[in-house]
Amino acid sequence: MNLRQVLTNSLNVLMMLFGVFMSYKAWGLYTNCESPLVVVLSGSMEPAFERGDILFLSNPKKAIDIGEICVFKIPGRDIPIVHRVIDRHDSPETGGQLLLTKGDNNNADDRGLYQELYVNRGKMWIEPKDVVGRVQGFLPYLGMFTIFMTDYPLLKYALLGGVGLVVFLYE
Amino acid sequence: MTTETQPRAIKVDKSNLLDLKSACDDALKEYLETKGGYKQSHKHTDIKLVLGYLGCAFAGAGSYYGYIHPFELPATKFWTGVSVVLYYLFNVLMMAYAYLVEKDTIFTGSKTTPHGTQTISVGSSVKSYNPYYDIHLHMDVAGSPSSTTSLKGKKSTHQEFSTAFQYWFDEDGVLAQEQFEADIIKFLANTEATHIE
Repeated sequence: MNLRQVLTNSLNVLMMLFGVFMSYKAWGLYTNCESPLVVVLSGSMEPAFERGDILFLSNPKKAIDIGEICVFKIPGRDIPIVHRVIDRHDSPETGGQLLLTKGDNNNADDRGLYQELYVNRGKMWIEPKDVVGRVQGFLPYLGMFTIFMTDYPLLKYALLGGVGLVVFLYE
Repeated sequence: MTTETQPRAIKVDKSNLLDLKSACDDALKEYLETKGGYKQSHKHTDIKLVLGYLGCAFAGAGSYYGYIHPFELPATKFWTGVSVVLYYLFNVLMMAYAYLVEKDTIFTGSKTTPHGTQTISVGSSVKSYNPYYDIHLHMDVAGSPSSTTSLKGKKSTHQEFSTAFQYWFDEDGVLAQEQFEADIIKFLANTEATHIE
C-alpha cells in the first residue's frame, strides 16, 4: 500500500467519524443544548424513565415550567441528574428563576442533593443556568449500550479498534 | 533462473460486476504504467485528498475550540457553527469534484513520443446487469517544435470501446493477462492511429 492509498483510506475513516460528530454538533446548535442526547443512569425517575433510556434534550427560550423534566448539574458534581421541576419562583425584573426538583421515584425533594457538598451549604434552589437541557422525548433501552461501554472500558477499546481495523483494511 | 517476477494471477468472483470492473481497472492501470510507458498523474486523487483533509482540519479545529470554551458563550456557538458549515462545505466540494470533474476516470497520464507529449485519460464503467466493460479513451498529442513529424499544435481524439468480460475471464474468474493486454494494445493503437493523417 502506497502513501496515497493510506491517506485515502484514513481520510475515509476520518470523514465518517467527523460526519457523525459534526451532525451531533449541528444538532446541539439547533437545540441550543451542548449535549442533546443523554442516557439515564439511575432509577430515580421510574416509572417514566428507566436506567438505560436515551433522552432527547433541548433548551427553548421560554421559562422552565413546573412538571418539566430537566437534566441539570449541581455545581461541584460532575454527573448530571434528570429530575422533575416541582416548584418555581420567577423574578420578573431579571427574568431569573429559582427551581426545586425531585425525582418521581424518590421520597424527598433534591435539597439534600443540592447541599451534599459543603460549598453548597444553604443552597435551596437551582437556577436555569444549572440546567443542561429539558427533556423533549425518549427512546427506551437503547442507552444500555453506552452503559456497558462505560462499565467495561475494555469493550469500548476492543470495539473501536476492531471497527477501525476492518474499515481500514477493507476500503 | 529468471530475474523477472511472475505477476500474480488476478482472480475475482465472476458474478460480481464491480469486482470484474475493478480487476480490469487495476490491470489496465498496471499496463499503462509499465508497458504503456505512461507516467501517472495523481491530480484527481490529490485534489480530493486536499479538500477532504481541509474539511477535517476545520472540523477538528472547531471541535477543539468547542471543547475548551464553555458552550453557553455566543462566541463558542458561533465558531462551532462555522466549523460545521465549513466541514460540510468541503465535504460537498469533494463529492462535487468526484462527480463532475473526475467522473469515471481511472487513469490519467502522459508520455513523450516522437510526435510530442501524449496524454491519455481513461474512464471505465459498467452498466447494471450488463457484463460489458465500457472504456473511453481520451488522447491528446501536443506536438513540440522539435518533433520529427509534421504534427504541430495539439490534436485530441476520443474513442470508446466495449468488450464483454467473457473474453478475458475464465470459468474460475481468473483474468487472462495476455488476452487482456492484447485487446488493450489494440484499443490504444486504434486511438493513436486517428492522430496520424
